[in-house]
Amino acid sequence: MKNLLNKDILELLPHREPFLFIDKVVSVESGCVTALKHIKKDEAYFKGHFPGKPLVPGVLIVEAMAQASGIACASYSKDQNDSEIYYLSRISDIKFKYPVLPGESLIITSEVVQYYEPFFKVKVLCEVNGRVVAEGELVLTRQKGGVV
Amino acid sequence: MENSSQEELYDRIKKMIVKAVKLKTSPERIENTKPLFGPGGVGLDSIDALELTIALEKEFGVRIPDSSVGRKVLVSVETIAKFIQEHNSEKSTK
Repeated sequence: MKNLLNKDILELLPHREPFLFIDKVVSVESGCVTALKHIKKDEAYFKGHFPGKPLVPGVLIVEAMAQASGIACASYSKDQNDSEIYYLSRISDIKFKYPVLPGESLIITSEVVQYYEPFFKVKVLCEVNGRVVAEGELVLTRQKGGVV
Repeated sequence: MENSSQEELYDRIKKMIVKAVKLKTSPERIENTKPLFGPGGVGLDSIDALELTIALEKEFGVRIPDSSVGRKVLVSVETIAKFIQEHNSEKSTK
């Protein structure tokens, strides 16, 4: 499992810029991953969200949570292979507690709490400087054979 | 099992289903043998099966080990009740 830590993020996720929202995996155990995403001060979306008052859109925080969760699901699956992909299938009770600002780093912890093939339910927590900024539950669906 | 306790079990299962998948119907409207999934059924979708496995563990302490078992158990209120009863009788004979 620890070999995930040594892998480049591009090997762990099928996402690519400009829609890659995880920089690196910080820790990993079976079904539980902590990952980091640094928010650059000049992210393109700050121009419009919001002019003069930049704020990371909640939907992008959810996307970062989903990407970290994809890695958590892969670490949980004993029969995981590289051609599989995890789709976000359900978002439940996500709460956004504090705004995330330019220059801050998200620490996302995702843990698989239930697996029922092909579905994974995960609990996700997103922190900035030790403070929980968002939390909730997601369901991801494992798609064998990669992107359809 | 007596009929009254059988009905009580059915009622508990129906309430569990409605709560677990946030069904917009009352438990009383779910028929015991009506399919939970698929056309003409109660209206659950495939992801709801995941929620039911969580609810079954929480409410009845029974675990569905994998989706091949789930496909046989998560068919109707009646099949879920049968699975719970079998699980409980196995536990009591151990």
